[in-house]
Amino acid sequence: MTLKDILGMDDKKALFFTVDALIASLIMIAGLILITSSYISEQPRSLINHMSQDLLNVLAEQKVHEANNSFIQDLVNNGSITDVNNSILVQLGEFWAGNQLVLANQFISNVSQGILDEIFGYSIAIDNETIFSEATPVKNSLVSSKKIISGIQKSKPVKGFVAKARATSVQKITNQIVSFSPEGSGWDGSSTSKAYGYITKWFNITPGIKINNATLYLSFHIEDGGSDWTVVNINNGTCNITRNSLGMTEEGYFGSRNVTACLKNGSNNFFVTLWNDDYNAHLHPGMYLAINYNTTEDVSYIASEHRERIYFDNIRSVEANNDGSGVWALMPFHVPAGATNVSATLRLNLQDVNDLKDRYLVGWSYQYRDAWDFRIYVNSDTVFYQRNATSYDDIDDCLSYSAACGSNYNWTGSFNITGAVVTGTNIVSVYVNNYGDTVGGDGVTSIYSNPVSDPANSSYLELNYSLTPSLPYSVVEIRQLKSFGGTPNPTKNVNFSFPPEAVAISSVYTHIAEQYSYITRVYGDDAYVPANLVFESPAPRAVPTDVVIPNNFLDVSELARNYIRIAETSGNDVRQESSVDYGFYLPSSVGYGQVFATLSEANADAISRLQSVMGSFVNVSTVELDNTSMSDVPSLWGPAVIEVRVWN
Amino acid sequence: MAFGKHAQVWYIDFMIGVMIFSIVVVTYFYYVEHTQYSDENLMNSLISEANTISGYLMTEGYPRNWTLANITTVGLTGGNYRIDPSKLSNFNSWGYEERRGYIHTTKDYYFYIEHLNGTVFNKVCYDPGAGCVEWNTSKYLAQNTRLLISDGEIVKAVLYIYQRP
Repeated sequence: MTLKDILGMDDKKALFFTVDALIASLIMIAGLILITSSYISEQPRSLINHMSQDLLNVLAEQKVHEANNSFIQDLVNNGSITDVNNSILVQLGEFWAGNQLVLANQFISNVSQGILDEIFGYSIAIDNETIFSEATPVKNSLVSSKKIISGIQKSKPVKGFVAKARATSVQKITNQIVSFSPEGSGWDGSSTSKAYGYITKWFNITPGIKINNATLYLSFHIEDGGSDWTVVNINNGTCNITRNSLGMTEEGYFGSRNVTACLKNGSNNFFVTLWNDDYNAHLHPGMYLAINYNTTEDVSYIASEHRERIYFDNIRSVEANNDGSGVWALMPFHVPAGATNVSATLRLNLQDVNDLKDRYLVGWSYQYRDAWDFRIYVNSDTVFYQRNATSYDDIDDCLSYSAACGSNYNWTGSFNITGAVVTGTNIVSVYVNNYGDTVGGDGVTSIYSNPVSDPANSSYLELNYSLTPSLPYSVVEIRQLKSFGGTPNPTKNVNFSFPPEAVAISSVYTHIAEQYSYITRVYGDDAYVPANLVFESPAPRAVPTDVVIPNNFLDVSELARNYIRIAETSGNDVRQESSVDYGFYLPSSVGYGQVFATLSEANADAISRLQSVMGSFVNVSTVELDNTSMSDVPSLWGPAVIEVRVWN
Repeated sequence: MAFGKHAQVWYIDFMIGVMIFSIVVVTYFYYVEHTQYSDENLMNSLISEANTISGYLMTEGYPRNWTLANITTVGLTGGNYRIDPSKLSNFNSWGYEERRGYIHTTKDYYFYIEHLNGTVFNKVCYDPGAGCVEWNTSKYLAQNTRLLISDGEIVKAVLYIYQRP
């Protein structure tokens, strides 16, 4: 029996449908009521959130002096609080950092009392160490807010001192090189009538320095037989090096002597006497004096304007038995990469130059060619300047088989050679009454120079240029010397690295030591095989003792290895005494360091750091210290995390 | 007229259906309107409004250094939990409705600042006719208290948002 049967409505199908709909509607309404009744609302937490954040922030903002509180005033009065401009939280952090936990508890308890309604409990902790906590239990919600406070750390002083240091003068160990360029000469002569070449070199050793070691490398071509004579006279006889003491086995000689005891502070001089009875006597590349010394010097900035006057040695050639005289000299000078406003002037004072006319003897052939009195070359085998004979009726060349000599004259003049200057090593060659193996001067021919007592009339090269300093602050320059070592070879290499303390390269030179030379090439690089050609002799035998290696081919990094190669194209050997002379800069100051509780500790630390960055090359002699007290500096210590918990 | 009878039966069904639907809809909304759930919605709405408005008041407002001439949104501080006296003065100078406009609410409100000892010192409800009386008699009332600093002192900014009884 269906509902329709019960109601007797078999013919009223629509009415039965309506009853079904009513039942369905009731079910829907009941369902909706059940669903809405089952909705669970969550209590809003915004108020407690705000309380936690607000409490933290107002305590971070309010200053100690703003808290009108007798307890705080007592703390100020008894010195527990030293800075009333601290915020409440920072002051709390200072108590905590100073392990004054009881005081911190009393302080924050007092300051925060009454801020929150009684329905709230709260606690305050620093770096998870609870400073204060109410005993009220957590019943409902707990909200935590955190804030970072910089400058404090547990058990660290909240105020301290920092210091920076700048060396104003230092004691350092460094090296000085005094080079002799190839020059000469004494021509021919005999054992009974000697033709001498005399070379006088003056150089200065800074007063006050202590010479640790001085080595004189000797490289020359002189007579290896016959009677003895003093070849090198140091400081007017303080030390003498005789020919026989050299133990020569051939005319080309290379050796070294310790001359430490021969030198003095101030002006020094070497007087070299050269003689050869059947050839010309002269210096070879590689003759130089290496001085290792201790000095105290003021720290200075790297100069941007350079003005250098390089004096020639005084060179005299004295003829014998009418064999003739003539002098020549190589004058190397160096222009660094990046130099601007370069200018170079050559001044010569030539004395007793013989007017050769056209009777210039070519070798031993008794053939003559067009004569000139002196010549100058600059970085080339093309003549830069030639002084021709002036007296056409003077036909003598002063040789023994001539009737009379041409007249001698003195010549003084200057040349602007700026246009011929190149970056790197430059060579000026001066030949007076001789060239190659030919000679024609009369009596005594000389390139005059006396930088000590007569600098204005001396022969010199003056070089000027501007160069942007590689470092903008004051520095200390150190120079180190390293020999190539090994055995003689036509091609020799050396490598070197700058020390970790070096912050920039000042300059690097290689000193070429050769018993016989012709065309020499020098390469520099920070990789092996060194590929950068930095010098090539512009003419045969134009080999200077010093060649500069441009800084841009080198690497100052302590991990880098730099290479220099010297290659003699003639097959003659480059000697193992060849060396690299590398200069670098050390910083002379350090900035602020760590914070120390006392001023003396901060100063000692600054000096220690300064000594550390300058390495073993330097002992800081006088230091300028700049120190300051530190507080409220975010970088002092920490940071510490302050946490406020609020609950209800 | 068999055709006419069938049409009449359909019409009655339709009428009854519409009536039932109407009863269900009316019943539902009556229920919703008169249950705790609807009260909670309103309360939540008021609480949310109170949070939002108190949040506004804690800020600098917009523009940051607003004046009566250029204000868009009111804020009472310099952005550092410190009450800016000039901003508070401007806020106090408005009438009830004007202030309500600047705090962007359609609800009624009651705002004051008090010292930690409970002494009220900045009650802005000077216009009783605008709803400042009914706040403590309303059944639907949300309160939000924020901490601020006024003249170096920590104070409480208390805001009530309510629906008039």
